[in-house]
Amino acid sequence: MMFYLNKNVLRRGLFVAALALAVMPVAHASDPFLKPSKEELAMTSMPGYPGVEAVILTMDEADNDQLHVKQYYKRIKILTEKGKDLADVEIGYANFVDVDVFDAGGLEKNVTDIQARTIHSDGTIVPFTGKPYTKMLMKSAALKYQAKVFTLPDVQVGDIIEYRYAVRIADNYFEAPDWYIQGKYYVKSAHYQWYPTSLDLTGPDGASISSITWFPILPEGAKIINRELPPASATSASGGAVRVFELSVKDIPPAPQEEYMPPTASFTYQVLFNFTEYHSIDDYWKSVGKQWSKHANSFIDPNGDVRKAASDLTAGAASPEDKLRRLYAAVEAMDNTQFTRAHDKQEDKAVGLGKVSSVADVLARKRGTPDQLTELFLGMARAEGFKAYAMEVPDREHHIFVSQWLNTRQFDEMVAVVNVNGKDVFFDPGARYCPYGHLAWQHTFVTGLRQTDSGTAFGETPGDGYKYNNTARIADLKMDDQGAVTGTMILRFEGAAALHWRQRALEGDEESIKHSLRTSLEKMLPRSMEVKVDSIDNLTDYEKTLKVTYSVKGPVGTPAGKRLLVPEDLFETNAVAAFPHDKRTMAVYYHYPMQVLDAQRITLPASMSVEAAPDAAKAAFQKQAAYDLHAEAATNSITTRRTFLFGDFYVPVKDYADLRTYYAAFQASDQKKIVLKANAAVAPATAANEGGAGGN
Amino acid sequence: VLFRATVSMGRKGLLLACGMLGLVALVVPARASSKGVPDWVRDAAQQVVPAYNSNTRAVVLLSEITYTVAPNGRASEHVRYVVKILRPQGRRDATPVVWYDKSSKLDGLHVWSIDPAGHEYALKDEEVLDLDAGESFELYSDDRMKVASPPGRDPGGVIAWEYTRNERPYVKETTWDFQNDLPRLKQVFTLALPAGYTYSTTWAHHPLVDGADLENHSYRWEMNNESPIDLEHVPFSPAGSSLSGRMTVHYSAPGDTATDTSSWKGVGLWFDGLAHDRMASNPEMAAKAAALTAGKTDFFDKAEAIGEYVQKNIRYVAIEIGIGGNQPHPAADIFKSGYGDCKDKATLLSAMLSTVGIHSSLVIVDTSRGVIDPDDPSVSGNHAIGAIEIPAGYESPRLHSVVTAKTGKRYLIFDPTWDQTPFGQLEDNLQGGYAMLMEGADSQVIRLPVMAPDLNRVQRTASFVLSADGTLQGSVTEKRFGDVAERRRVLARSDAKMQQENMDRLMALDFSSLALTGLTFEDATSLNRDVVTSFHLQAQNFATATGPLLMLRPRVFGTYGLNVDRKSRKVPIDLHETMQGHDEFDIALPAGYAVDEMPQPVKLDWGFASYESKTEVHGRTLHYSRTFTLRDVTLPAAKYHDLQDLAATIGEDEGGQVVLKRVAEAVKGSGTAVAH
Repeated sequence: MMFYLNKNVLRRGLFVAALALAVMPVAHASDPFLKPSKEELAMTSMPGYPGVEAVILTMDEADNDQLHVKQYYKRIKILTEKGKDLADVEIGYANFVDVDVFDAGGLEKNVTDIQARTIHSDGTIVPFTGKPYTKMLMKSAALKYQAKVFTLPDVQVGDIIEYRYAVRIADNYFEAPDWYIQGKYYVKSAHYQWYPTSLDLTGPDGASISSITWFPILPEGAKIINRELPPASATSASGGAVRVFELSVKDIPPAPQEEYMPPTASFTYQVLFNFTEYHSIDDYWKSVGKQWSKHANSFIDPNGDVRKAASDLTAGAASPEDKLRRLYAAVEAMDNTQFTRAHDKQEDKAVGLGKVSSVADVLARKRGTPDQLTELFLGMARAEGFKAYAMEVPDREHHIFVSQWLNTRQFDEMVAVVNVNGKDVFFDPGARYCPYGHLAWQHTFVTGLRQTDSGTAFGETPGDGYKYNNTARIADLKMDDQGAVTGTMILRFEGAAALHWRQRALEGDEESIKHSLRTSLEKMLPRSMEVKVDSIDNLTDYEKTLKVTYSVKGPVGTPAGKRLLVPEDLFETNAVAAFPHDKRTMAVYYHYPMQVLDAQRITLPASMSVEAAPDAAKAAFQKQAAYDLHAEAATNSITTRRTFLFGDFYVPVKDYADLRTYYAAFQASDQKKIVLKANAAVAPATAANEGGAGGN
Repeated sequence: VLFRATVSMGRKGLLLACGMLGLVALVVPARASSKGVPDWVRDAAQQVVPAYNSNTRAVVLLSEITYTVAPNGRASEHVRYVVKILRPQGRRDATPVVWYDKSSKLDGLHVWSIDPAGHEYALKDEEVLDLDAGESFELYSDDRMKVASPPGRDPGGVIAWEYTRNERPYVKETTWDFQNDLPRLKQVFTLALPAGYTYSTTWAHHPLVDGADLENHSYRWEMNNESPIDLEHVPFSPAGSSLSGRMTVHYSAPGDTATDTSSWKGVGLWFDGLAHDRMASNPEMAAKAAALTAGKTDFFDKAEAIGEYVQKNIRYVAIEIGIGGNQPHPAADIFKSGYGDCKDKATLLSAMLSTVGIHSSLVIVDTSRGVIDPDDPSVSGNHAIGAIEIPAGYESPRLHSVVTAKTGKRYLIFDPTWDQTPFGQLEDNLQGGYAMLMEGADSQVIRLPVMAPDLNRVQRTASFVLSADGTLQGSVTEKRFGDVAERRRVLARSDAKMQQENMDRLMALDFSSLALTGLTFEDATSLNRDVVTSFHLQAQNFATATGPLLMLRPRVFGTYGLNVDRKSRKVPIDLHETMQGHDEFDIALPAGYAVDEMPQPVKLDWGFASYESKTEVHGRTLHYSRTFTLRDVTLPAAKYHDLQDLAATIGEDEGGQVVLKRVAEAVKGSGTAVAH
């Protein structure tokens, strides 16, 4: 989009740009719109995509640096009632009023030259004759975020709507374009064009820009045409040769949208350009890494206060690891503003603190952002003589790092790498309550940019196996003659699940976390059961298992005449089919490997006994996942044990059918019932409607 | 580049901007204060806060409003507000947000705070953000808001703000909302009028309280220790504003000929003044109406043709500037452009109907039932619909949403904006609520009707075959009509992929493994006919085997379940809609099995609802049928136990199981029979 001050905005002299504008007025052909074809007018659906709301017939973007303008033209065929919503158009743009990175004035933009019309399917043209509204969406001292809005007239299903507009950029800035080709709607035809400036440019650090890079993700056969125009071309401001990048594509399908999708949203068809001073990918990352590392170190380097704090914390430590554990615990105990609130300068000033310019300032506050806390940990580790390295990583819930895309926006957070006893150990002190020596799952199994002894390099983060991300669910229940149970349920969380609940607790207080934990269990159990949270153990002691103890009571089974049918695994009572669709286009992506272990014991009243229990069930998916469920009946009780584990987090689409079969098999098994019968002497009564609520 | 400063300015700066727009993350650095915290803030902060429920997020320590009317008709509202945060969740209650628009001007917004440690802060003007405050449904609105993020917003912190809003009111009334979801310790409303002015007050959800005369034409009301309306985690809760107390002040100048809105007639006249001329028709409209009603002689047929035209062909687009929030655009403009908001659509409806000799008018409602209080005349509804006068003596079984006014005239109430409600009916959220009928001197408050349950219905029929391995397969037909058909009609008009995925997900609620094929929809766009969904279903492991027994759920799929809780009920119940659901399923049983147990039949009636269900065996076929009827849209809190009872009955029936037993028990089965 338009905001990348750090990325693409470059300075040049006002004079030349103004001259260019003077000699190169923006001009369209006399008719700014294409004439619709008979086929376009008659079109009522999109073959292969039945029922789609709309189709983009034409998308045209022309970016001209010399004119400081980006021109857009869009033609849309409306195919359904819902598609008519596309007649409301909002074009957002931002002006950085008070941000002057290059001493070149504010970064101002404007949207101009809006022309639009509706074409009915009989060819009748209804022009847009109104004036677009300017919405001031947000205004602060530094930034104005605005939008031009308008709506097309008399739009009906079957119409073609089309509009064009120009985004004008301040004379002193240049911005490499990003072409996002694939989106929600099918694109019949798209054409993109960029005339980059031929002027000499300098970046924010004063370096001369020597190259343009681009990161293309394109359908097979599509190619960016990169050519030079003759020096005399009117698009040249410097009088030199002018380069043009062009791309024409046809028949782009909508971007896929499925459940459990890999974080590939940013890898739809697109081309992202950069101005750069670097000549190669290696050159870019090496140089950028060097600058980043230098700045990181200047923030991390421990001063006397940090050294003293680290020394105090580690006094008497039995081993290097013990030292590091103490330092880690001290940082983890600090206020992580991701979960509370960033304090501003005035608040710091009130307690005698100044600007945050180093880890010493973070230490003084005992508060910081996730990155600042990670840096403090690194600083204290270094103070204690550890080799400690910063590493920038993506959040793989949303991104996957690709080195070919020369952009540091791919990184979200910082983790720490500390050499302990000759081995690199990864830490996530910026993730509140993440245990020592582990990473939040979002930072596991990713490529990032890390510091090394010799500079920087790409590195991989490790991750934890399924046993680490363990959830145990234990039910110990006693049934009465009416089929209602009372008893205790204990849920033990380790790894990612524990981190989830601990961080969830940080968003509120005891009241809210108890509510969340209660409703979470209620959703698993029969609706007739009443759930109360008795205790939460180790909520803040992140090195220990998080344990939640519940009291439960209520009818647990379904009466069927003389029998009572009890779910074999109460915790799976309300589970729904995970993969109901038989078709899939993308791989299946879980967050992390995991296991769930259930144990359920129901002690029966003398009036009941087990008539039948389901056979033991086992299922497996390749070598990645396994499932086991079995019930053991004793004289006065029945005990169920269930094991579910998934050892990976990625299943390629070719294996989807097998995965679906596996899920269907074990989810069906989960729904089996234990059959209880009334003993001859004492017949069970029909389960009462105790507790009131039912339904789902 | 990866420099600290530039990374945060670029990427995170963008996130910040987006967050600001969603009012999620407001981070503006506070700077040194030039002004200290005023004494009234300190005084408020020093109050002893009573012990509240543990879920109380924050407490309003002071709310002080002075509404001053100038002789020239301009008004200013001076507000002081102090809130103390009690829980982390209370931070959101301590974010100063002040609205204004093109017709009003904010004269300064001063914000102070005292953090839990007692440090005091004041924000500078440039630390206040100015945001668009339009609703998401509006293409353009001149509503704006100023928002600040003061320091010290932590539990124990106190946030205060003060502003004056100057305006030239369109109508001589102002509303004091003295109750919401926070407890409010001290509240004062002062009215200052010019000499000779008079006023009256009307009250919603609260008995009338007389103001103290402060002399000099000033009057004062206090409402201290007001309890909160706590609807957090309350199922079937009504809208908070349908319960909270408010006072509306109506004032007038001596000899004032302007409309007095202290009566519903006055409110109607005021709206009439804005809308009447906008309802004028033109020849193009008349021609279209004539074409739509060509060959039709029946009143309902003619009204329906025009009603559905406006409902379906005029696109909803809201552009609201100044008085445009209350005044419709001219009908001719709406007709020509093909779009408009709710009052525009109701206006065009009226204009077009007039060309075929049918009189209609506008009705002002609120989309949350109960917000409009007949005891509190005011212009404060948020939606406009139409009232079509029914000719005297005309009767038709298609007339459902009918109101008889005090004049004896009957009106068919119709909302041309709600695009999925059949003509002749009214959408569920408006039913049972009050509304203002705009009919000139006959304007009045009316109560909107509650629709009969069978006008909002679901009918499921299916015929299945069960195999001995537990697989169920068969054909399903589901018919929906009324508001419960809305989502299905929308789905039926979406693309095939979305249709399949949505139905897959819906059925996945009842089957662990399924294949849904042959999905078709019929009559999705004919609102006066059932939308019919048909498909073939195959579900493996539907019946589960344990030992010699095969167990299945005769209810098969679909739910009428009600999510109630077990807490004692303090607030009225809003059931959302009346409805009727009826299911009929046949399941052919597998050979070798006989029915051993069946759920007991159910037949219960609670007055506001009834539920009956039975499972029978007809030869080798299991037949399950049930009917659920919900007759009311609201219930008093005292009826909550009945609702819990209903929910439990439905829940138990929906989970009911039929037990089949193998006829030849000697055959080894799936499962282990336990011998004792």
